[in-house]
Formats: sequence, C-alpha cells, structure tokens
Amino acid sequence: MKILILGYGNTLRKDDGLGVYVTLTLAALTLPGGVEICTYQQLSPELSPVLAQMDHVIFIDAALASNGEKPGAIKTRALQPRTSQPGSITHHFDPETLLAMAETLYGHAPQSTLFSVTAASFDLEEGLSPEVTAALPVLIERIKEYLFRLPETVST
Amino acid sequence: MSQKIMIEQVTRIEGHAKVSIILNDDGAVQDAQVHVTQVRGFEKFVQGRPFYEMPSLTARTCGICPVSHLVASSKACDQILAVRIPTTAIALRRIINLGQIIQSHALNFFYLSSPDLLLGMDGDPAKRNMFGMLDKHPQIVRDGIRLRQFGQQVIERLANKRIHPSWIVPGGVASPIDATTRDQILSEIPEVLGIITRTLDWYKKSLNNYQEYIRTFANFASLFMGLVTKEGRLEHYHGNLRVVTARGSVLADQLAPDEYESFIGEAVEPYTYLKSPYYKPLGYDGGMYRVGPLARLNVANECGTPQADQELAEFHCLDKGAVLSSFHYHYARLIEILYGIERIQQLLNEPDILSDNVRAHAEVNNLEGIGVSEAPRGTLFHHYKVNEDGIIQSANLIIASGNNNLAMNKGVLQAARYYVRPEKLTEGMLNRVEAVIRAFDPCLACSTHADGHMAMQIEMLDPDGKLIDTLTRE
Repeated sequence: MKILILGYGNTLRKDDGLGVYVTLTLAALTLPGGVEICTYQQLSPELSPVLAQMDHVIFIDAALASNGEKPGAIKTRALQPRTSQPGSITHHFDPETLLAMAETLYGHAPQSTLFSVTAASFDLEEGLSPEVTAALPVLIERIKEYLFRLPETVST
Repeated sequence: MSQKIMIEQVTRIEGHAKVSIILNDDGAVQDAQVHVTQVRGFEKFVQGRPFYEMPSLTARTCGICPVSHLVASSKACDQILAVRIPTTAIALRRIINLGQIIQSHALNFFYLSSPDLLLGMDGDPAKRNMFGMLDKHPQIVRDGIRLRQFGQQVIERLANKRIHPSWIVPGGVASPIDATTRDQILSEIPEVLGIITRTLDWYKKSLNNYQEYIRTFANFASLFMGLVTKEGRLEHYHGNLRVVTARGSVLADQLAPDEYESFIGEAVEPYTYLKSPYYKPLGYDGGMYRVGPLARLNVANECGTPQADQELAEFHCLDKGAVLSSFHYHYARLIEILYGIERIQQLLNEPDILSDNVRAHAEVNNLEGIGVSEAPRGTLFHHYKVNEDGIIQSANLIIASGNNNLAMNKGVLQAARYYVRPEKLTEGMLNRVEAVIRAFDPCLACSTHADGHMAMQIEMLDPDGKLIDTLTRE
C-alpha cells in the first residue's frame, strides 16, 4: 500500500505552518513501510499526478475556527473528490479539488483523510501558538494510530 | 461630460492593482491606467542587512520566480566579492534559471491563458478556467501540469527546495550535483520535449483563430530589450543588453549591464506605485520598451539549440521587422520552454557538470555590485551599495514586470478603445482587458488567478461620482 502524508502551510503565518511542523516531526519517527512524507507551502495542480499514484493520502493543515471550536481542537474527516468554486483555486487550492483533478486527469483518486487543528492565529509570525503547540503530541499520536490501523500497514 | 470606468480591487493577486478607463466628453475612451496599489518596500527594508542575506531576502519578492531574484542578487554579490565564479557554478545557475523559466511560462500559458484561448474570451466565466479545461481539453491540462512539474523538479533536485531555495549563493552555488540527479533530469527530457513540441504544433495551427486579438492586444511600435551573448544569441543568465527598434534594427548593442543607469531611466507616475522604466537616450516619451519572451526573441539572432532555432526562424516571419503584437508573448513563451529544455540537456551533458568546484570565496572587495539576468517576465536588475563591512547602504531593483509598465498601460488603453462600449459594460469586455494584462504575464496578474479568472468590479461613474452602471465578477 502506498501512503502519502502531505503537510502544507506557510510557516510565516503562525499556525498556518502546522502541516509543515507536523510532517517534519513525523519524518523523524518510525512509521510503517510504504509511507512517504512530503511538505508543501500550498497545494497546487502539480500534486494531482502524485496523488493519483497513491492508495491513501493524509492531509495535515490548520483550520479556521467554526461552530465555536476552540483553538487547538483536533478534527479528522474523510475527503471526497469535489470540484470547488473556480474562484477558490488560487492560493487556496483545497484537497478535494486536488482529488477531483487526480480522478479526472489520471483516473484515480486515493482514499484521503484530513487531520486539522483549529488555529489561534494566522498573524505574520513564525512559530505555533501555545494552543496549537499543546495539541501537537495528541495529533501526532492520532496520526500514528490511524496509520497503523490502515489495512496492509500492520503487517509491514 | 467626462466619465471614468474603474476596475476596482483586482483581487487574489500578489500585489494589488486596479484599472481605470477614462472616457472623454463624447463617451469615447480617452485614457486607461493600470494602478499598482501596493508598496513592496524591499529597496528600503534591506538597508542595514549584510549583503550575503540579499539573495534570500529578495527571493521573497516573488513566489513564482524566486530563482530569478536569487540569480540576479547573487550576481550582484559576486561583484561585491570581486570573484569569477567556477564554470560549473555558472552552468548550474543557468540550469536552475531555465527550470524556473519553464515552470513559470507553463503556469501562464496552460493555467492562466489557455482557458481564454481554447474556451473563448466570451465563454461562461464559471467554466472559463482550469475546470472547464479539465472537461474539454484534459490532455492539455495534463501537458501543462507535467511541464510545470518538470521545471519545479529541476529546481528541487538541484536546490533541494521548490520555492525560495537557498542554494544559489554569492560566489556560486552551495553544493554540486551528483550523477543520479543529472541522469534523472536527462531521462525526462524526451517526454517533455514531446509535450512542448505538440503544444507548439496545435498552438501554431490555431493562430488563425486569434487574428483579432493579434491585431488589438498591445500591438504597437516600441523598443525591445533583452540580454544576448557576444554572438547575439538568446541569453537568460549573463551577457550584455541589446535594444532593437520596432522595425527590427539594432538600436544599441552589447550594452554593459553594469552601466544600466546610463541608458535606463526610472520615472514615477502619480497613479501607481510601479516605477516606469524607459530607454534614456530617447527620453520618457520615446523610450518605452518591452522585455520578456517577446522581446528576447525579437533581440536574438538565434537561440543556439536546434529545435528552438527552427521555431525562432518561423516566429521571426510573423512580422516584417520586430514582432509587435503582445498577443505573441504566448507563442514566445512556448519557444522559450522548448529552448529551456534543449539547453538544460546540453548543459547537463557538459563534461564538468559534476565538478565539486562550485563556489568561490572572498571577502568584501567592492562597495558596489550589479547583477542582471533574465527572469521569465523580463530583464531583472539588482544594484547594491555596501559599506566596508558589507552592510547594504542602498539597493535599487528594477523588476522584470516593471520594465513593461509603460507598454502594459498603453496596451490596456488600446484594448479599451477597441472593446469597451461604455453604453453597456459586458463581461467579455472585462475579460479582454484582463487578457491583455495576462499576455504580459506581470507578477500582478499572474497571482490573481490560477484558473484564468480575475475577480473584478467595474463601475461607471458620472463626473459627480454617481454610479451609472456596474458589472461585477465574483
């Protein structure tokens, strides 16, 4: 099974850099075989052929607060290929659109999951907020558990 | 009664711009201006920094072409060090520069411009974008993605980072490449050559469909400027500057980039933060020039690679003198992609490309350095003055897109005069004004939209500011 962990975000925009910091941390750990890790500043169409070769993709990103969530809240959701509104494909290319491109152009969209943490701040600063920093160990454990629960990874 | 049509808040751009179209008392288009409304401030805030930080600092000017700034900045720093960098370092800098030109040109042509070209300027805005292209022309989208990916991977394989790499440094590059890296890139050359060849093929066959745009998109006489080799060949990394007239004759040749202040003036207009460079010997009124792919192919005698030379010969037949229509920036970009791929192949096959000798080391030996190179959008100048400790005292940057400011404004005016019917503003009119800007591929508009779609609002106001008509694209 080919698994990609894709963390993305801008480390100069405080909590937006979450995906980058998490993937750097994961890269130093022992993970199941077949797992690749990559880091991007932003999602772009060139990732669609990469995704199309994967069986499973884990996206990691910071999230805006919604529904009264507090900063540091960890969320997980399965992703489906979906074409977003055309106006959004600029600096905010989303994972669902990328999956839709992979499916349309290359015939395959991998199973995908988004792990996100509600951000406290997107200010022009380096480093994560205290709330998001506190959530990191739990997030990383959840990603590891998720990886080891995936079919075929337990045996490798 | 004079009126003004404003295209306010061109959104989703790196940098901000708006367009105003001014009507005279008879309701005809009298003038048009592209307003760049954001100040970047690099020339000011780099003061006080050590010169060796300049490549990394100025690379942050742009997320699409940081390599261009790394190259020009490092060349300026090379002069401060007073070093001749190793030949392998020159070759490697050339390769990464070409990788960036390939990915940047692919972005503009395939992602930003092809929806207009293939889905029509009057197509449904909801579909005149990359998603519409996915439906109607999936192979072209795949080709664009692959070319952009190739260019980005050249950068990443050499510099270990796709955006804002720190590998290009004063004195050369930070590390050599190994045989695996070289061979990986070489193995992909046939595939990407095939892609660009078939792209040129369908594009040239479709040129007849664009005759109206060829006539009206910034099609006027101007000078053209670009770097050339001693033999007058296409050059993106080093060389001297050549200026060519609209008739195709060489006005000035082998101008030393170090002496740019003697032949390039910079004017400031009250309606924009973007400076307006002009060719000084002809003054502000007569000195408008264009840079970038169209200009580079106009000034070059040949490219120096086999397939690109054939394409260039065909390209030069488009007009009797210089090729004047800015619509042909699209064609020129494709030829430069082809040249870039062929040239990368040549450079990687040079016998000393794997040499470990890739950096010269020195201390501050000059208090001034000027670095000039060709970015995807045109000639880029970095000029630094330092003190004896190497601390930046002043910096002057002439950004590639800035060179085209006067021509871009004139082009927007030309398009507005041809397409704008003030009695009723239409979305198609708005798109054609955008398309003129997009042909220049400035750093403003290229960041506006990855899908060929610029959010805009046009308001038509009477002299009292009363709103007469409005057209909004979300």
